[in-house]
Parts: sequence; C-alpha cells; structure tokens
Amino acid sequence: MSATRLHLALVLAVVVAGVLALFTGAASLGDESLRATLLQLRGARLLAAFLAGAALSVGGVAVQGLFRNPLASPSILGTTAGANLGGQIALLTASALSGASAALAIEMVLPIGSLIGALVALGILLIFLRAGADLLTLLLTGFILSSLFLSIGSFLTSMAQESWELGRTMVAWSLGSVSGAGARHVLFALPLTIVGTIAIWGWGHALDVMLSGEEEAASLGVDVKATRRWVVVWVAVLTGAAVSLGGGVAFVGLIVPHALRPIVGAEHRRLVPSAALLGGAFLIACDALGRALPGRSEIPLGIVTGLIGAPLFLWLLVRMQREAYGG
Amino acid sequence: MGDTAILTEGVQVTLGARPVLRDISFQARYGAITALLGPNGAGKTTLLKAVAGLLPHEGRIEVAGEDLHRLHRADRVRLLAYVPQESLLASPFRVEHVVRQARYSLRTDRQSHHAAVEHAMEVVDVAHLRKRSFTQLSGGERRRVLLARALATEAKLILLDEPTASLDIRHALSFYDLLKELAASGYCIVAVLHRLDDAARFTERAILLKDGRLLHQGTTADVISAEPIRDVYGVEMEEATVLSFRLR
Repeated sequence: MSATRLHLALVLAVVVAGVLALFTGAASLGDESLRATLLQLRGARLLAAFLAGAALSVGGVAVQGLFRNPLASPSILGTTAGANLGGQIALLTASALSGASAALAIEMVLPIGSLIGALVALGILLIFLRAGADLLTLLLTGFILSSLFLSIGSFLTSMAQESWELGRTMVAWSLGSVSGAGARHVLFALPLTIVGTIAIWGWGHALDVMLSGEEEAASLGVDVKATRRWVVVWVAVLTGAAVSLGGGVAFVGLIVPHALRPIVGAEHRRLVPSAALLGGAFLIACDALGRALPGRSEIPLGIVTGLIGAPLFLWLLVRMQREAYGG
Repeated sequence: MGDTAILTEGVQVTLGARPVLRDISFQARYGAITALLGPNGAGKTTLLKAVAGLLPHEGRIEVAGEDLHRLHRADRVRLLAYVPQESLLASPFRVEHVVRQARYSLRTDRQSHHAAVEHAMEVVDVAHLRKRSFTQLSGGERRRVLLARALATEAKLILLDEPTASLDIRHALSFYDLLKELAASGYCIVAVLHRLDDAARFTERAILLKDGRLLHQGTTADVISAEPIRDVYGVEMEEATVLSFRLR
C-alpha cells in the first residue's frame, strides 16, 4: 500500500472513530439543551484520547527502534511510571492544600505533576547516559526506576484510602482515563506531542541505521550517543504528555508499531506518522468503547486497552512467528 | 591520495584493564588485499575495529594520510568502510534501503546519493534484489548487500571481518573473486581471515598476529611459510597439502 493511501485510510479511521466517540455516552446528542455541552466535553475528550494515543505510539516506535526490540514499550524507560507518580504526588499535594490552592487552576495540577515526574525520571536516566551507560544499563535503569516509582505510587495510593474521594481519584488515575480531560489539558499536551513526534521523525534515519547495531551505526557515521540521548529525551516528553492526558494507558505503545510494521515496513520516517494516526484512532475507539459497554459507570480506558491490547498483541506475535517460520 | 591506505605506528588498545593490542605498526596499500591472520584471540578483529575508529587506541593510525583521531565522523565514512562478521540487522528493510544507509552522514545532492547506491548495487550484483527484504536473503546475499553498503560510501578502504565465514564454497569463491576485482580497481581491502589457504590464494599481503602483537608481515607467500606458521600457530606446515577449488 502506498504511503498516501495508508495515511488517507488512517485519517479516515480517526474521523470515523471521532464521530462514533462524539455520539457515544449515556446522554444523547438529540437533547438540544445538552448538545453544546456534550459536544464540548466529548470533543475535548476525543482530542485528549487522540493525542495520548499518538504520543504513546510514536514513543513505542522510538524505543522499539532504539533497543532493537519489538517488545519494548515507552514504559521501558521508567518515564511513564515517573509521570504516573508525579501525577499522584500532585493529587496528594493539591488535596492537602485544597483551601490555599483555590486560585490555582486545580485541573492543571495533574498534567503539570505528571510532566515533572517524567522529567525527573528522565533526569535520572540522563545521569546514567552521561556516565557512558550502554543500552543494557539503560534498560535495567529504566526497569529499576519503573519498579521504584510504582512501589512509591502504590504506597501513596494506599495512604490516600483514608479519604474516600481522594482514594477513588488516585485509583482512577492509575487505571488510566481521559474522562477528566478538558480543553486546557489538550492545549497543554498538544505542543509536547507535536514537537515530540516531529523530533522522533527527525531522528528516524539515525534510528534506521541503529537497527544494524550501535557498532555498525557508528561505522556509518551515526553519532550513537547523541541519538540515544535525544531519543530518550523525546520519548520522555511524549510519555509525559500522554500520561498528563490519560494516566497509565497500557499496550498502545506496544501494539500499534507492531501492527503497522507488516504494512508500512520498518523505516522510522514512514512508521512515525502512521503510528501517530493509528494510535490516536485506537485510543479514541477504546475510550468510546469504555463508555458504550454496559455498566453502572464507564470502564477506565487503561482497562479497555489492556483487554483489547493483550489478546491483539498475542495474535500479532503468533502471526509474526508463522511468517518467520513459514507455518 | 597516496599509495598508502593505512599506516599504524605503535598502536595499543586496552579494553578494561587488559591490553589487547600492543605496539602494532603496519602499512596497507591501495590496489591490494591484505589479510589479518592469527590464532583465536590474537587481536585481529580488535585491530580491524581500531582502524575503523570504533575502539579507542593509543599510538598513531593514519587513513589515507589523515590522522584517525582528528577525523570527523563523516570524513571517516568517506575514507573507510567497515563490514562486521555478522550484522545485527534483523529488520525487514528493503535491500536498497540498507545500501542507502551508507549515505547517512554524507552531505551531497540527491543525484550523487542515488548514483553511489546504484553503482554499489551493480558492482556487487545485488541490484536485482533491491525490493527484497534483507531478512529474507540467504547468508551469501546478505554478505553482498553489506559489501554493497560499504561500497556505497565511496570509501576506497574496505575493512572486512571474516567475510566468507558461514558461506558455502561457491559463495565464498565468488565473494573472493569480487574482492580481487575491487582491489584490481584500486581499493584497499583488509580482511580478517581464518583460513590460511584462502589467504594464500586470494591476498597479496598478510599480517600475522599473536597475543595482541604483530609477529610477521609482508607478502602473503613470505608470511604463510614454515617458520612464521610454526612461530604463531605452533604447527608444522606440510607442502602440497592445501585443498584448492575454483569456480566453474
């Protein structure tokens, strides 16, 4: 399939998913008194889902290229867990200072907290990279950071259970959801997602060459250290943006690049725009599905992506193995 | 450009705290194939990587008269190309995309890039594979594609690490013929080789390493002779026992 046709098909998928998402929910758009409010709320929400899906998918493309491992996801660097923890700390802080912080736009506490969390995790990673860490050390550092941040996050969540409302918010945050995203969140994450996506596209040729291994890449003139450092930075920016919009949303960054490679090929400059579009469409559809499924309240986005993503990923793995072994 | 492609003086490479190469001085010239020989662990691959600028070294390495320490990445790519024993590339890139990667750091116009890539694929006879996925190629085809990528840099010094390892005899002979053609057209080929009979047949000059030291260098006929072989490998060379093959 040509790149133009594929991109048109993916844009169409985004539009279809977007229209479905606008019409999905407990309240009907047929009610004229609610229509404007519903369109505003659902519009911001679908934009948030699109941006989070795009950011996570482009981040997935980048880390899978950097680590030469199709099983890598953006969370591998620990910046996702850092962003999650940043959001949790921000929630706790906002709760403790609720009286004093009335003047502060409370809805912005979470995205700012998650971005700070992602940047702190990134700072720790960069310290290791500056010390000359190789990819394995980077991988292990990311794993250890993730474990550490998740443990601290779980501790904070258990502490927050003393207040029912706060505890519920913390759990909802860790499950992942764009239900609370508004226009400000979208405006906050939009430049981060656009700049991060363009930057990863810009490093695309270097990432292509890095797939031959760092030694071969260096022999072909790639500045391996700079590529490693900057790709890590932009993945952190993208995951920070995604988490600030939707909390912990699993599997998107893993399966979207996987699903696209057989169609688009392995070239990063072709993968990045396609991944942004497919990731965005996928998360919009998952969010709409979470609202459409029967239940007392909607199903958190992170649960929907997990329920769809895990079996889909297994199917993709089986298909890849069949193709590899001609079965 | 002079006749000397590589000139090393007192090169030392230390990995961790362990000295791997000590006081290596040799020359390799354009228009010839030079074999890097020696037993396992002698430091052949390390020397090749040091000359390729992939390992930090002490001492002096000159490539085409330029000090390797002072060369910028892109200038190094213009002067030398390195082909490892096994590429880690396992992505389904099209062959032409793999060859085009040679031009990553070279800043010229699109036409020059295109011409260099096309020429390299023609010379190595992989142009007909251009749309095929690299991962679907045979071992011999992959070797040729990686050589095409090296040639597409337009560097006249090609460093090869065991270029015929894992190739069957037909592909190996065909690969050596190609290297001889390249050397005849002015390239300097430096190849780590394991098989002495291959070195004796296809290379003009040889360097014999043992335990990180250069013990013998000169014409291949001089280096692969009774005394150096006994000295380095600890075996006796017998006359007329080398198997020989040729392409039909």
